[in-house]
Amino acid sequence: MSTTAAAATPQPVGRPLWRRLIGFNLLTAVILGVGGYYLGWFIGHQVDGKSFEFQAAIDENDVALLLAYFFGVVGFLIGLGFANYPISRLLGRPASLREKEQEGIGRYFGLCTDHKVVGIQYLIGIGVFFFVGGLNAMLIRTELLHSTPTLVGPNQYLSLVGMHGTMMMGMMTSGILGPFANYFVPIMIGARRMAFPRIEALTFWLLMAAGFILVSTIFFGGFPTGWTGYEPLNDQAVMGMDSYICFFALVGISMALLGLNMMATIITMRAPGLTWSRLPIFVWSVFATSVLMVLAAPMLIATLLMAALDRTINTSFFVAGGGGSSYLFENLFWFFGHPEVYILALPGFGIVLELLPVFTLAQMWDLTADEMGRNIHAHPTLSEAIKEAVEGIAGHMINL
Amino acid sequence: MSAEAHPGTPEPNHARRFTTIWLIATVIATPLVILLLGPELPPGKASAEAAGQVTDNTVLLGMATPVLLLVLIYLAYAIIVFRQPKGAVLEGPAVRGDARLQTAWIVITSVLVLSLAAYGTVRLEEGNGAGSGNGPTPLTVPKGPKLPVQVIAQQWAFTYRYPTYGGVETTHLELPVNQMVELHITSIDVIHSFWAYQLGVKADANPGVDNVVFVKPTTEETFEVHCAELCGIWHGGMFDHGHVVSAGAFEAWIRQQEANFAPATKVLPPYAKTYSPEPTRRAE
Repeated sequence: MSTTAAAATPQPVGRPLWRRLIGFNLLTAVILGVGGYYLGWFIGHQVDGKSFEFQAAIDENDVALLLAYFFGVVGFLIGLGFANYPISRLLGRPASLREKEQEGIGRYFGLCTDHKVVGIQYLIGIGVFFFVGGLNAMLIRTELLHSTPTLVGPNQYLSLVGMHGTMMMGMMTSGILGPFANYFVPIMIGARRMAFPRIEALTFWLLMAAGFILVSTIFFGGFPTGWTGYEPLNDQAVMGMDSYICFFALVGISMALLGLNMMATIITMRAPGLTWSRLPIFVWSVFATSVLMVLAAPMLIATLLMAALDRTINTSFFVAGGGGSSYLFENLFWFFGHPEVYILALPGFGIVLELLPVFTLAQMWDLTADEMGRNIHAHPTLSEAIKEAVEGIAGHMINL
Repeated sequence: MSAEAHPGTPEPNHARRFTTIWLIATVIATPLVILLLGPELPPGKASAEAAGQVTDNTVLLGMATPVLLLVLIYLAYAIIVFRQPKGAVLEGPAVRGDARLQTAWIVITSVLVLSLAAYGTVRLEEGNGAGSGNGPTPLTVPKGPKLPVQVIAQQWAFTYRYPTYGGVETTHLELPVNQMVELHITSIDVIHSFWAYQLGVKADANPGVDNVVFVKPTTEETFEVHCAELCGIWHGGMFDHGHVVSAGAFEAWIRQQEANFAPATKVLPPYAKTYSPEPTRRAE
């Protein structure tokens, strides 16, 4: 490098590198996450009791693993700086609406309340886990090249199937709403930001923590249930099942918060004059999806909590031998699972309906979007009822 | 072909033209589909219930054909007729909302789907629950004598108990032809699903639940038995063949089984609707 070039681009005067690494950033988050993990693991092993003896005998401790995941996620979020705002408010400092909205590439690697940054974060973050899920699918197909186990054993194969399905279903529920709605909805409704920018960032980072937790199942024996996690196979499975439970519960929390945030934004932050009937069709579809998310996701969280209690402190919500019912898990799970189909599909319809008029050079009917909007809202409820009925027929008729 | 490309020619009546094409295609295609494809549909005619399911599949396909043709022919029609003329970039016509079209769309779709749902519900009951199981207390029970057979699912095999033959538990399923069979499907560990493909039976085996299915085999043939619910690593290995045999051959077979398994039958728990073994502990 010549001296003139060096003079032309002066180095930004600032703190040395080691000083900049200390603070609330991704590095701190990872360190605190790992620390929290081992703290939870340690506490879990202090929990003792008659009913835990058999777990010690087979060197398994679900309490420890679930606590480890819990403290790990909490540490990760604190490290990113999610605790700063509540604490400063508790101390009586003034509220700030923005955090870390500085220029530069660094804002993509931490807590940022800029909705466009979060949109890009979602796109890349979900893309990475989408790739991991796809890689699992390729491994499944590779194993299936030959009819006998070659690449992976039967247990690993089953875990691959489960990881692939769970990753795809869990991550892709926010696959369109996360990147596209976070990015475009405030722009389309004339708002500067989302209603709850910090929660917006939280939904993304929860999803990232969840993704790593699901992948970590390979260290604990994987899980045999596929993406549905049916009981009582769930209860019978090794510790890897706890990764599944933790992953889906975190995805559920992320989904519920994302949906609430979208609803609040669309209801309260529309520009003056942007009435409901003038709302773009994509925003309508996002609104419908958000309603579904808020209705469906808490059911999933509650169900998985029950499953976790069955696995740890030996309740028997889903164990027939103890008076529970295996049907119960299926029914509760599909309270989430059926709406999820529409959560996946509706935002896509919204995007297509935005794009079609552009390429056909024709306006959508009246562009009031009113009628379509009403259709989209009739869709989830009506289709739920219809789909239940149709599935009755399908299960009966299509014995394939 | 559009009016803009040929200013002299008047715009044809697209709605009438398209409807005519679609009607002709439907009138030709639907009977062909029902008559030619219908008999080939799964799951075959090995039992009265399976034959009923073939009928149901034919009804579904027959109703789906006009809808599929509507979509595909409209797509083809639009691509051919409404294509942008070369070199011209034209604004599409300013189409206004059409309440009649929307109402018709919603009403026709709803009627189609809801009538299918009603049909399916009726047929589910008529089909003796073969397609899904009727639970512990079936709403309708077919008349006449029935042979009770219990299907016990466990990781990773099906076994069968014949309570009218001393409660013997066999490792294969044989059924007499033209005899109404009352299957009691249960599991002793996790959820399985008893799927006797050619008999048209697919019913969940839940622990602690007695799932009742009636089926009447009508031809002497071999059928496949699979597990249809992911139940652990050897789920794919829960596969067997069952046989439908003549009444005499069945009698001979079950007497022989009774004799062969007599020592085992003595130590089995007494026949019950469900079994609750000690909670199984987790192991690698």
